[in-house]
Amino acid sequence: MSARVKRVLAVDDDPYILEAIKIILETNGYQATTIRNGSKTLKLAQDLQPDLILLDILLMGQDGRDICRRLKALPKTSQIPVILVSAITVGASNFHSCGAVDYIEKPFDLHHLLTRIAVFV
Amino acid sequence: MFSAQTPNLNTTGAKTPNSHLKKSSIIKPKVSLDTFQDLADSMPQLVWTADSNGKVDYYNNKWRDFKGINPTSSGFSWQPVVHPHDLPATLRAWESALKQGSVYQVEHRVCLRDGTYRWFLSRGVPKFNKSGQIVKWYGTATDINDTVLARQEVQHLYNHAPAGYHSLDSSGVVQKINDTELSWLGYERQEIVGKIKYPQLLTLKSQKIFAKKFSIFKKTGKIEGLELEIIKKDGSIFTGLINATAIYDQDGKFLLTQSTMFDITERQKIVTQIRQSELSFRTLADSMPQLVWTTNPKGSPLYYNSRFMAYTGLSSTKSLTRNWSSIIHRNDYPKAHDQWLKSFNQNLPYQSEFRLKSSVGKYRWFLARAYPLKDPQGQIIQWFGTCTDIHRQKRISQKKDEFLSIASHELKTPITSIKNYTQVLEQVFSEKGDLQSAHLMSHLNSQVQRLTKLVTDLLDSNKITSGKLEYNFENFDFNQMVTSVVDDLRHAYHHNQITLNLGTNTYLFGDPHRLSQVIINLVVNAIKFSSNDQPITISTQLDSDSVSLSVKDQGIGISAVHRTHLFKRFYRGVKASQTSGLGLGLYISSEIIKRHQGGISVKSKVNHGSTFTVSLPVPDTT
Repeated sequence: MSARVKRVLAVDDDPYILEAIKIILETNGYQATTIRNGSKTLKLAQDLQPDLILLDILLMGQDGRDICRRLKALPKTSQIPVILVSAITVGASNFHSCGAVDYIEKPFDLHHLLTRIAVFV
Repeated sequence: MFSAQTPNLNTTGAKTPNSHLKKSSIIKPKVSLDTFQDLADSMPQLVWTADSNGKVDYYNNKWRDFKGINPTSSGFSWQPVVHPHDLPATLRAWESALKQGSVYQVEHRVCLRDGTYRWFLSRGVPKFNKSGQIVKWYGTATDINDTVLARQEVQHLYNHAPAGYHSLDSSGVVQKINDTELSWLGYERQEIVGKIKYPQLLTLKSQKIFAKKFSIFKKTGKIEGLELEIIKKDGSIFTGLINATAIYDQDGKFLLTQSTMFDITERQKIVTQIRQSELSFRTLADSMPQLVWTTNPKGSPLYYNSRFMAYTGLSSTKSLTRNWSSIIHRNDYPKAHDQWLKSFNQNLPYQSEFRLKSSVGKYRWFLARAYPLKDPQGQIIQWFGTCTDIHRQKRISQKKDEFLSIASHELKTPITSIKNYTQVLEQVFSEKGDLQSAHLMSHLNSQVQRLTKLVTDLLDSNKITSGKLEYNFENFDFNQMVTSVVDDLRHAYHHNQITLNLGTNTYLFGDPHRLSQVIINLVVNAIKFSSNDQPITISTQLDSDSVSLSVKDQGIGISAVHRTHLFKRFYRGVKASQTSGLGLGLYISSEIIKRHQGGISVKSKVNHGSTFTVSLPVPDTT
């Protein structure tokens, strides 16, 4: 059991969802950083070094899976576990093959989200 | 009467020993009566002579071979030896010869000593004196029975051949005709032979053909396959097929035809029927809105209807090879081709959907079907196929799927927010001790739960029916998955008592998310159909080759009637007005379980609750 507060980076293009995630994470003892712009993910992840990344698939003009692949390709971010969040159902070839450890379907249950994060963080 | 009179033999002898060499090459020896008789007796024939009145005065010894000739008896007559049927003609011929002094020659049956009759050729030659009067008759009777029988057999074969035989002279008059042809024509021989020209039996159209062909035939000497329309005596018409060769005399002048005629009326009828049925088929095929095609048993194209040719813009059957790779969209071709090979090799009906290229290069979706036509022995004669344009339906279906996908995503986004906020608020109120508000939020949360389920179920069921529900198969820890789901459920439905009895654990190969969906569905149903104080029990059990999970409630139960329809799409059972939901949950659950090669079943008693059991195969761990 680590004493340090765990950091979670959440990426989603819907501001309300982002805000809800932030509140959920922070009221449950995590430090949450949220961004809407998928293209900023790589830089932010490198700088922040979060313990886990929550990544929406359907981002404005980008596919979260591509971002995940790029994160896994960079040595600085390759070790960070990524959980894909999706409103569409993802096939087997899709979430494992891009390097994510799990995926959560929207709309997600608060408890379920926290449970899954706890597994990997 | 056997006369003692010596025969008047030619006794002109040679004047000098060598004069015969100068006068003629025929030796005319001086012959004595004895020599004559020896000579006559040595001949195999019956030899006879008669006087100038035609009365027989000598027989050689062969007379004993016959019955009815007794020259030693008085009042002898040779007539009894002749067969009674042939006697009239014989007497006529003899009388005529006697009168005219011409050669007497007749074929007749003659009675042998054993009582049997044989055919003989009787011949008599008159001898004249210097004044031209007949002084003697010299004659023979020769056994020609074998020849006559052979001739009769030939005649019989000729007359009763299965074909018609006839011979025409150079002006087309019938000189000879067999019984078969006569019977087909309906005439008697005497009405035809020597009396009519063959063209007189033909229709006008055929007469013209005959006229044209006959003159050519007389020169070339052969004709085959000439079809003529022949009119019978009763006026009906039939079709005859004629082959003929020509007989010429030694100067090359045309004498007679030797013609064979076959009645091909039946064959014509069949040919006409076939042509008509083919025409019917083509008319039907061309009137159908589908593209129609046929292939031979090997799969090579035989026929395309006009609509096919018009759609593809191809000019002939030859333009299309055995495979349609040039007209099927390249993305659809592999699947369509595989399906065809499978059907073709197993002689089973074929069905496939693919895009076909039109004459202007655009693609449209078609449903292709083919069916093998077999003969009574089960061998394939032809493949019959159709292609039906389903482009509009396919596009509509694709648009619907796209729309549902987008709609679902669009709906899920605000729902996610609502759900998250209500859950956060519930947590906040709880922590603040405002239990009343927390309670209100949990109600709100239940409704969001319900809304989520409606949207998800709708989209999932559509995916299932269009075969597009995605699965994510992996090896996972079964108990862990169950525990996690039950945990979530307890949080979501904290007013209900949910008990979990876990059996022995195992790893499973499947989609844990989809299976979680099934468990959630079963528990939500259990909660829906029982009151809050009735407990819900979830148990798992590991058997030798499967693991089962059951969800038991003590609610209203399901009657036998409803149980049979329970897993059908949209089925809502119990008083539909009193329950919510689209009736999709169990349909989707059963489809997911099916995909896992598992089973789902229910035991229930009205008012005593239900137990739903899911069983999943456990992989062989060797």
